[in-house]
Amino acid sequence: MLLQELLIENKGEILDAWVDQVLTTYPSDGARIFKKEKDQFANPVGFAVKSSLWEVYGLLFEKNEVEKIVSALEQLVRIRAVQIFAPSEAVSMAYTLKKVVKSVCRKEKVVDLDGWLAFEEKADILAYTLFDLYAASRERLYQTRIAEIKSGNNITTDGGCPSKLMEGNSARKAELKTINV
Amino acid sequence: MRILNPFIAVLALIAVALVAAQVPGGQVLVGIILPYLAFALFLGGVVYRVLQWAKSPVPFRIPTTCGQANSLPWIKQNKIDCPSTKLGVIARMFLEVFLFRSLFRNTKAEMHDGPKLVYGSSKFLWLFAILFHYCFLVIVLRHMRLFMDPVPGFVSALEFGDGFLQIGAPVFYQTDAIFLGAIAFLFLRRVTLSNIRYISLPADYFPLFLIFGIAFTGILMRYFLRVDVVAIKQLTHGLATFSPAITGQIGSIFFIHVFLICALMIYFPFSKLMHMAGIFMSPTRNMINNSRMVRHINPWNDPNIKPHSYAGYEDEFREFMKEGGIPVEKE
Amino acid sequence: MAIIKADKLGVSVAKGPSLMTGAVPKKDWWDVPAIFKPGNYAYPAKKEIIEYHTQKTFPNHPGLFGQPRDWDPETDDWKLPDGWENIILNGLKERLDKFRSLKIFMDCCVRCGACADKCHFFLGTGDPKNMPVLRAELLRSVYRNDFTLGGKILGKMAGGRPMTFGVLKEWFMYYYQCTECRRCSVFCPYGIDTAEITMIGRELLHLVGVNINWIMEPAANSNRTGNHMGLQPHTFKDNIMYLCDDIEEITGIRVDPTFNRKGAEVLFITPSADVFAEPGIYTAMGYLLLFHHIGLDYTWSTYASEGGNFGLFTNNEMMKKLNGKMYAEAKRLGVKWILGGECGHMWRVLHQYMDTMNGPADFLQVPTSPITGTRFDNAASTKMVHISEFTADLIKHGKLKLDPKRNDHRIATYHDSCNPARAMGLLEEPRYVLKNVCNNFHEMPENTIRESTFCCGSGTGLNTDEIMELRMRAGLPRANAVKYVREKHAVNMLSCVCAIDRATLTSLMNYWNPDVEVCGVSELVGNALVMEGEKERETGLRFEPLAGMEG
Repeated sequence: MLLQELLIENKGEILDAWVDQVLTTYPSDGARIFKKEKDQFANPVGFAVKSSLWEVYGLLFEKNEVEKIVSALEQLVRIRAVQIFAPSEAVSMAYTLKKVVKSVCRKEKVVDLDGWLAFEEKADILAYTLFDLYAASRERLYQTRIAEIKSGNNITTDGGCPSKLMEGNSARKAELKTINV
Repeated sequence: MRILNPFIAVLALIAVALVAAQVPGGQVLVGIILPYLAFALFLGGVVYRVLQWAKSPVPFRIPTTCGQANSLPWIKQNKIDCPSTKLGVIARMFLEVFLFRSLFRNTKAEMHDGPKLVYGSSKFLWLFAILFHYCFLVIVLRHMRLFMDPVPGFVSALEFGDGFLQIGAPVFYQTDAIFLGAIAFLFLRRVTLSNIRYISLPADYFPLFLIFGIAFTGILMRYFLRVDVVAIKQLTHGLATFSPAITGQIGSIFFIHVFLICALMIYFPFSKLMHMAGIFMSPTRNMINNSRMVRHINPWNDPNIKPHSYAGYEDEFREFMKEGGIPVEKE
Repeated sequence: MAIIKADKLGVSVAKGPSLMTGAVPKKDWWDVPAIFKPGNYAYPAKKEIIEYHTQKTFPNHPGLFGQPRDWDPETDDWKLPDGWENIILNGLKERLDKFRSLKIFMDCCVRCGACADKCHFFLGTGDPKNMPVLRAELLRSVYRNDFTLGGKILGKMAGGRPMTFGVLKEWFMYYYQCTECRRCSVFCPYGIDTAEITMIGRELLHLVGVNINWIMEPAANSNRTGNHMGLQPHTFKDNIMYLCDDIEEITGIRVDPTFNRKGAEVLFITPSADVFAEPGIYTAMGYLLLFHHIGLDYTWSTYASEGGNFGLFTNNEMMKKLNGKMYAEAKRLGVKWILGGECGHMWRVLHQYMDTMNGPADFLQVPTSPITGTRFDNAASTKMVHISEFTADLIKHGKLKLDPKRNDHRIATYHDSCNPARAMGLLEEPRYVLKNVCNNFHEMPENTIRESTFCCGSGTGLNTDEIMELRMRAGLPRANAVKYVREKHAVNMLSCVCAIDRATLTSLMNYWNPDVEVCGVSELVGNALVMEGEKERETGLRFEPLAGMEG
């Protein structure tokens, strides 16, 4: 079997494993029930991940419309960029996909070097795209922060007004600030 | 454990009742003494809890407004969801108590491809909640025939309506089936929806099991395990007229049924079932949204809390104010 | 801020049960500890701020704010006072006796779950403890343990938990991940209002000195200078005068507001952010133009220069204290009634608390519009009118000369701010105004507006930048609804009547929907007003070119 065929025939299996690993859910038994959770509203964020990955997979391997993955991934990455993840974690899903496909290949005994090279190229494109989007999202976040500070709303706590009433504390205030920031 | 423990508790209750029905004097205990005790505890407990609630004041007028308020005359007010009169509040409470207005409003958030969040309407909880409560009510009212002689007309009418399909003998009551179905839905919902299961406590399962037990024993008694209806009526009527007596062989199933009902009545005032009374007293629902029209009094309003005075303010900033051309009290 | 330590790089941070991934944890909720990490909590109040409050704001109410100290939520030593558990329990008992709402809300919940997916914090974070029912259970479990018969006898079996440090941490985490928006309360069959629970939870936390700076410092500012921003009288005035300069440049009209003027008919109070911060200042320019346009006899006050009230986010004592200035100043200046600017939580306080706390305002008169003669009977006792009510009445009577074409460069939608929507019922007035001042107006999807409106995600003093990521998550439901109308109708302006919204929605849009701007309704009014003797307008109040005037 060619890898491309495998990617289409085993789509469900691959995607389930991929989504699972991207969510990095709980390894023990109890979690199995939740992974089967079809109820979308029970975990909106989880569902966002799922639907995005399904769409991206379709674009990459079925429709072969690589250029469209940016818009498919945008919202997902934007969500991940404001969760408490390490940057590597936020973009690691491309490599997770490779891992998943590798193991399916092994199981199905598919040997198809050309197919693998083509697949890997797409997975790499996915990785670059994720990185670009993640960096862009974080940058946007910091720009948002800066814009907020520039807007003047911050002086509610940085005007330093009432503390001026208390004596001999300006040094400590400065000290506190460095801890806080 | 959260599900198992209350289940075992209900089974234990049934076992106790079963034993009590067999031992000498047990029938009197379960059939006569316990019902009086349970009813007294139920009434006393509910009254006590309501008085306890009423003891605390409502310091602020905090209705949740769910529609356009009373404002300019040409703006259409939502007189029920945002009432500005007592009548409006009565209408709002009526819809809330009898039709579960807020639950009817329920939506369900769903993520769709995109991903896109969509908030669709979700009425299942409302439907089954209302079926559950109304069936419960009808069943309780139907049981009035056991306590009253002659049987009041509305009870007979209810029975007739409830059994209008005229299936089987004795006539099958639809409410019995719907009631069991609704309990089953409420239970399954708790178990299958992951987030609902996550928030559920033993105190949520226990009443479900208990009520299921009551309904189930009642149905068994009516349709399957025939009991001495005349003797039962004699007992219940006796209970109502304070001259109870147990005659004939009533059957253990009846005592289990009664025992579980008593357990429910005793449990009631100490549990979340008090929502039956609480809904009438919920300040976000039973208050008029007229706080800008009529002053609401807070009994513990602290008159000693005064704003930082203008005099103190001017003393601190007088020079700046004068320089800035802002009028001051003291030059 | 998620600053990653070197040894964590490349290692999955979501190894443990991460609530953000959307899976439901397999542990019971009471076994999942609250863990504070940079970015998921707001900084505690500075020691000197709490010193200020204990010494200056409430010298006669010892213990309201616990012991002033420096402490770090990330450590396990919060330097709590000895016997803090009892302080909390006694505080809870006191509040059970003072608030019927609390008692009822503690007793009546059946955990039906109708509220679960109504909370924007839950929808945006996926954290189960952000379901309103669980947020309340955090307090309810302690209540059951110590105040109910079942809990006293059965303890854990009855869902009771003793007050422990772990519980306190949960409270600090989740009572500061609730914006008191009351959306859950709309859907609750018993009207259980998580805002009440959160307010009580925060009051209790204050008793043991657990608090956040972004609330306590503005409250201190407001007490001393009259406004959250800490603007001193001359600065406050200067800022408004700068706005007047801008107005003159844009319209050619010189407006001339007065300050602390005795004998004015109306006292005008708005959040100080409108005077100082973007984009609120454009809303303030709208007010200035409007009042000039109708020749209103009004004055600003530097002493009561804050409409907002961070006391609402602190405790009822602070709320009353800060709010007291409004009536005090109205009395001193001898005005007839008070007009209030656009602000959300300000109007919750004014509508539901002010008269009770600081009334009766018998020295004022029932508000009557001097232009139209309309008597605002709905404010007969409080004597305070919302600017949208006031403006809508003016428009209805044809007293404003409006040219809505000047807002043709805006395709607007309207965000109902939580408090005016669900604690006041102000829904139609702003919409009426909007439809009269701009030609392009589209509603967001049903269930995300009016009484079902989604919070900006940063209310109740959570609009601080150290929790920016959290705010972005919490605002996701609102942002999604805006995204929808942006894609469908090319909406580029999100209007609202709330100062916190103006600040926080701006950030939210910056992140999620970068081409959507945020404004107060009065800014669009200001754009549309045809002033007598004005020059031809080429730009709006933001100096942005009007449609047809580009280039």
